[in-house]
Amino acid sequence: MSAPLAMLMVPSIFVLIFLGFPVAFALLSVAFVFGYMIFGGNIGLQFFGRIVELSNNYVLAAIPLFIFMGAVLEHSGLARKLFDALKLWLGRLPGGLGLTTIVMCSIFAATSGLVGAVEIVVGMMAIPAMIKAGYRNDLIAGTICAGGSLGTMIPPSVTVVVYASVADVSVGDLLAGMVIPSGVMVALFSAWVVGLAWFNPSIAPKPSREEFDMPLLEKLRITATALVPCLALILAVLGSIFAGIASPTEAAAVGAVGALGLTMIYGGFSINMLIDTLQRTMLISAMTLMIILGGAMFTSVFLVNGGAQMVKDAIALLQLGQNGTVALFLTIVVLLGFVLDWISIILITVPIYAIVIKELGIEPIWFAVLMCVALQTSYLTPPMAPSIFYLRSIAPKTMTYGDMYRGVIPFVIMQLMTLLAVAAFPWMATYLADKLFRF
Amino acid sequence: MRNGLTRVLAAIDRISDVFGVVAAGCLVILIASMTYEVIARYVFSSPTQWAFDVSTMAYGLLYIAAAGLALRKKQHIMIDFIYVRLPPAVGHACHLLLYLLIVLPALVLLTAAGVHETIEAHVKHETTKITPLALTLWPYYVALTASIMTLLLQVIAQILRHALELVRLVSDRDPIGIVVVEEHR
Repeated sequence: MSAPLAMLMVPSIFVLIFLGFPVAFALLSVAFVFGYMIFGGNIGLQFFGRIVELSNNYVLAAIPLFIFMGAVLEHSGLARKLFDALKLWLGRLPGGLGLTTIVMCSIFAATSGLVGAVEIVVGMMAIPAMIKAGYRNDLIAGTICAGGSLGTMIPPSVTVVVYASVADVSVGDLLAGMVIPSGVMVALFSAWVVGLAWFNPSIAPKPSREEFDMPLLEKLRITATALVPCLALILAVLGSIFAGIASPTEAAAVGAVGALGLTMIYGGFSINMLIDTLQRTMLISAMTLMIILGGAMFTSVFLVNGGAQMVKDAIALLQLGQNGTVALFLTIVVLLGFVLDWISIILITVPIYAIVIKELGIEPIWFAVLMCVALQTSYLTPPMAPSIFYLRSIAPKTMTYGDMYRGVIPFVIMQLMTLLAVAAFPWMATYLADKLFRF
Repeated sequence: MRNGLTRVLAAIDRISDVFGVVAAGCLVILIASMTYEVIARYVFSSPTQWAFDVSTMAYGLLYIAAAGLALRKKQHIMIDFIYVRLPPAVGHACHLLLYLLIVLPALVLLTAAGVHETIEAHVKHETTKITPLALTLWPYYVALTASIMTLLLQVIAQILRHALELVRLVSDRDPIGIVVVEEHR
């Protein structure tokens, strides 16, 4: 009797979301309408219970902290120094500026959980440099978007914290699980850019030599002042999580203070900057956590309406086995990535998937890592492609949408290759998570 | 009428701003208390009794308190590639109806539940359970409920803004001189 109700909930959510209704309120609305049919006026108390529950979720407190850390580093003045230092060493290689961009994005992504900050900060320096050297527009666009998408992948990332809390897996395990796949993806991106420039130097010419002429000692000094503080911060945050010294939430707080410290040292600090950063952090956190709240309400009503049994029946009917089911789930996520953003995808799919994953006895960390890699494509695939929105806000007028869409295609293919690699070799996801000290 | 509406909208926005400041304060408290806890544990070898409760409450209040301001500043994620192709009047009408018929009643019931739970907590002397500190819970519930009310008010403001915009689009003139700016990413 109640199964058809649950069946109607998922299509309803898509209707509201595609009407342009804020995702958080779309989830809340569907949960409210379907919940009211069961609980009547008591649905208010049910939902208040969800709010109290979510507000007591200590793990999610890491979200505002990681966002704050990224927002602070964006203003720190460290980015400029880091870019210059990396360029000194990598810039003269084939595709050197593209390589510099990808390495820079990787390092910045490892200091920040803030999706978008990585792309804008690095893009504002790398785009003019690559244009000046004569890089072709689609290569510039692809490199910047792909580099920016690493922010969702490389730990610490807000994506991982959100996923872990929704799917109820350990944040530390999932962060550790993401390390090797992230490395593989960075290697693929770098190899592509260097290889392309090697075989076709005209689309990625080398920058002029003068910028690079300086004594070795000077080079080393520039590198030390830029790279060392960054690596120290990364080591402090990730190291303390992986070594079990601090919970991810505590490590995030230490990272936030560390980022403030670096900003003071590099002269980017001011009271206005601090107020601006606090305000941005709180708005992005509210947006993120309100979607999680809407999702929690949606899931609870979905389950009460017999959603779990419905999903189990559907999967039993399909008879896909473990691998077939995982393949189906990941395909759905990649396809949803064209039209939805990562957080909506997590909140809609993961509660449903979790039921099946448990039922079929699939390794949860392996599946979680696969999901996070698959989610990363959502960042690049149009029409709903956050990376292209950000790029549009910083790109010169000569760069067209065609350039951007063409540019991201090879990188989406490499993301899918990483996904296949993790699917084929589960140890890529589980090896480091198994080696972790238990907190 | 004209001035009255403008003033109501301005007042609601001011309340959202105030709760935004509260949220920013929570963020500062969250960072400070958690950092202090780590230092206390490893440098002074004496973990605090209070940091866990304080930081959890600060985080718990943060996002709800800022939700209204986030709505006003259009910070909430929306998937707009279809929406921007709809006739503007249709888009505004849809959002108006959704806010009015679903979100508004939902938040009214949530507020009522918040008041109910607050009174309950006060009467039964409920306290936090995780740490031995056992803080009194009702003031926290008051803050949560007030934050939900702020969001409720901002939803009413959104309903008014969509309605005004709809009137302007249909009658082809600006009813009260407020231009609702559509900000698309």
